[in-house]
Amino acid sequence: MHLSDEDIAKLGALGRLHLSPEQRHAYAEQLSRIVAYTERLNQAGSSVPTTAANRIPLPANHLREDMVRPVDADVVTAQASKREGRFIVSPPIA
Amino acid sequence: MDIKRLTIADLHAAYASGSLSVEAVTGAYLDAITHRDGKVKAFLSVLASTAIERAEALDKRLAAGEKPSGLFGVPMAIKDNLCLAGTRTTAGSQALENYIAPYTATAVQRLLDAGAVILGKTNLDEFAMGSSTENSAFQKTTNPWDATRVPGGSSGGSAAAVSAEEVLVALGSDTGGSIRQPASFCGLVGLKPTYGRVSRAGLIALASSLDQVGPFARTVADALTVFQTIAGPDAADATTIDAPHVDAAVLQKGFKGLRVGVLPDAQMAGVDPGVAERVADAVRIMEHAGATIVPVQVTHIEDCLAMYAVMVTSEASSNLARYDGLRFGTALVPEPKEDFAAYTQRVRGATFGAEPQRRILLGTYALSKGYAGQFYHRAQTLQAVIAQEFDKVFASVDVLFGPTSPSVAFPLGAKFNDPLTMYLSDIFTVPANIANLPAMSMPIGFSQHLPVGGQFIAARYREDSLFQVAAAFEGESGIRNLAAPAQ
Repeated sequence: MHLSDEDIAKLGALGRLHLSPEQRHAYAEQLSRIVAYTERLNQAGSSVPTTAANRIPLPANHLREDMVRPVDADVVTAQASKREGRFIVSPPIA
Repeated sequence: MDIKRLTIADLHAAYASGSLSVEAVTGAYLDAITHRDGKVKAFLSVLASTAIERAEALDKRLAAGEKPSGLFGVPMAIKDNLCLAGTRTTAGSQALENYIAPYTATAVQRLLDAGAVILGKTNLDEFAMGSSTENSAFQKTTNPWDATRVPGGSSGGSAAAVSAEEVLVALGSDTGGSIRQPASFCGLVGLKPTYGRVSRAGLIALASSLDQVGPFARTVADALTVFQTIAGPDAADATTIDAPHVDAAVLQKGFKGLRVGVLPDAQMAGVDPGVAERVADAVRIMEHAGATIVPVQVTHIEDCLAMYAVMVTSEASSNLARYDGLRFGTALVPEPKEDFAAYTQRVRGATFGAEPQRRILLGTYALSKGYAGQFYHRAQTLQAVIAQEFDKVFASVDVLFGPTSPSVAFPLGAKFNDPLTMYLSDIFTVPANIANLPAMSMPIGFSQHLPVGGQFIAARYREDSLFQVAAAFEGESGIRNLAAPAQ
């Protein structure tokens, strides 16, 4: 599968990356080669169906108790780009 | 006496007898950083004053009668994707250039609780993405054995610091070989523990289903001491489990009764002749010393790198979504009327380097509607297949052995502009990550005057087998405690 400069622009928007035309062109060429390499997965083990039952289980994965724990708002916001009191200032969210 | 030639056991004996102080040892290593790191460039930050204060406090504990154990008074470095409260933690990225960690990673806290003296934080490929440490936003670390070559990556700073005797041991992280490949290039012992052995809490995530924290050391015994310290369950990482403790007695067991699997030449395609010769030498040494060599095959092992490329980029693109230039990390001044989406795109475009950008794009592609089944879910399915293949192999052998990397350390710049070729340098290390297995690289000789690493892989939670065979090989070959001579 060949990725075009336009494909990269679309992926950049989805991945929240501003890319120059030169970057889009370079990434299109590099990622096309990598995607071509990964397409071998469709041949490998082709008799094994892609279902959740055939995926590796994590060694352990359990949820912590759902409980409220105190958080120091000053620590959480200490490294924000801009603060107003306990809040982080953001550009407008469209 | 050259302090920097001493192992952890040697240091503890010297502390106990009073012939050395922690302050003297810490000072010797800080001097080494001063003298060598201008060329090696292993460190992103050196914590000299806190290290000296800590050494003084540890000396007071010795004076009060404490017997040194664990990592007491051991000078260490940690990779700069591990949080240490109050210190700059960059992950090698401009996006976190001035980020100060508000808490300490569990693995690092366990080092501190065991008495380690942390001398600084080491360079890495940006967000641990790379195999040469050239992707760091800040500096290019050089290989202490040859300054024109890479130290490997992504934990290249930690490997170079241990190899150049700037610290005794160090921590790295390994998602597809990022401890073992630099250990191989720098002549060190490097361990990627079983997924679930060591807490990832406080490790800046690359691919959450594959990342593990592990040690670099110049001897197998020192690597074991660090591993024993950091392993174990942690409430802050739900994937950790209480696996059996590895006792130091395994270091004395030798090769007797060990069955070592070796892959056929066809599954070792592309290995440099000098590396292949050292691997063959190592197999002969093990066989001569009493190990049983068993030819084995692991079906689909050659497909692991493709699985890895899909899984790591998919998970990385999700993990990197948190960097928005607002809550923490490097920010820019919003332009008039710029909305959140445009601002975030601009920040991420400006502060992420090429490799994180490539992985975000590829991961976004692999997870997008219509492609997730073809790529990410397909890779997960084959991951289960390869894990079962390894299970079958470990029913008949204790460990698998082969080269860690197809080559010795390559020249700086040789693969920098060719990402696929760079990924292929991890072809022998990624299978252990894909199958959640423990694996260790250790020095097995030299080629072109550069260290060659051999890799042992064991069944899940059988780090004891790795330490047994590695210690036996170290004893039989005499290849141990290597350090790169100052140039």
